[in-house]
Amino acid sequence: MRATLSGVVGIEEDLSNSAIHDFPDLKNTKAIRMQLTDEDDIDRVVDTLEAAFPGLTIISREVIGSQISKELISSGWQSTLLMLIVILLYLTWRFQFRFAVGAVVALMHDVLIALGIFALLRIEINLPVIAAFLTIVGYSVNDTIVIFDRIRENLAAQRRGDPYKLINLSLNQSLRRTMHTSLTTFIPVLVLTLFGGSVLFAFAFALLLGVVVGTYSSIYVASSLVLIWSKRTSTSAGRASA
Amino acid sequence: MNYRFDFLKSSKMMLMVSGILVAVSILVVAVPVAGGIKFTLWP
Repeated sequence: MRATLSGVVGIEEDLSNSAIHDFPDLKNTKAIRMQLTDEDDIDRVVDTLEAAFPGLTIISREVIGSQISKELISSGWQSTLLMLIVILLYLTWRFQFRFAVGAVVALMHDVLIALGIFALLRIEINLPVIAAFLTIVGYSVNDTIVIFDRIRENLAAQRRGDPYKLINLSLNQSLRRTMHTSLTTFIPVLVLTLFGGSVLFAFAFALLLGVVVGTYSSIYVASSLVLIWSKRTSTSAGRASA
Repeated sequence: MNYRFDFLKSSKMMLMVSGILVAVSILVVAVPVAGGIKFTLWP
């Protein structure tokens, strides 16, 4: 079928990369997704398929217009932004504002780097990839919260302790857990990226980047920002009391 | 306070590296010559 699609005459787009889905419950039924918006082009594809597969029946045919697709993309980015704001508010409530800022900056760092790598490698961004970016945000914040929770516990136990030593201690205490969860997530996502096929590649690759960058940012971005903020707060408090 | 690894020893340098990576990412996303982002129509 893929060979037939790539052989459609009169279409500029490369249809050999079209997604062809099988339905486990419906034998001899397939769904084909193509990047075509022109109705004449779609008719050409249908004619070619009907000629190549006699007895072929088109059950349904849907076109997602550019306006709808733009709305889908913009709603994807809006949901990412909304998610970051909600996380900021929630972490401010449960922890402190400096923790919330550290976590949200780390999340933005993760998404931006993943996006940059996608742009550099010219991998297409579609809705599954945006879903993967949202998953990256969820995964990374989970990792960051574990470290922050330990920092909070240690700060509560030693109120007058040096923030540098307390945060470092917390990172060391949660290191084993961070490594175990990251590795156990990394392995299945790597397998999915390598053997998931072309349809799943972009989604799985986004997750793979998210796991690596998310683990790094939890340690080196979120915690470092909390440390810098804590140091500045304690310095200004020291100046005020002097 | 005993800990095995001093993660925060190079925290400022790591933050700087992250900042550079983010700046490069924004540049690559924004400038089509460098990479350029490609959105597709289909979900």
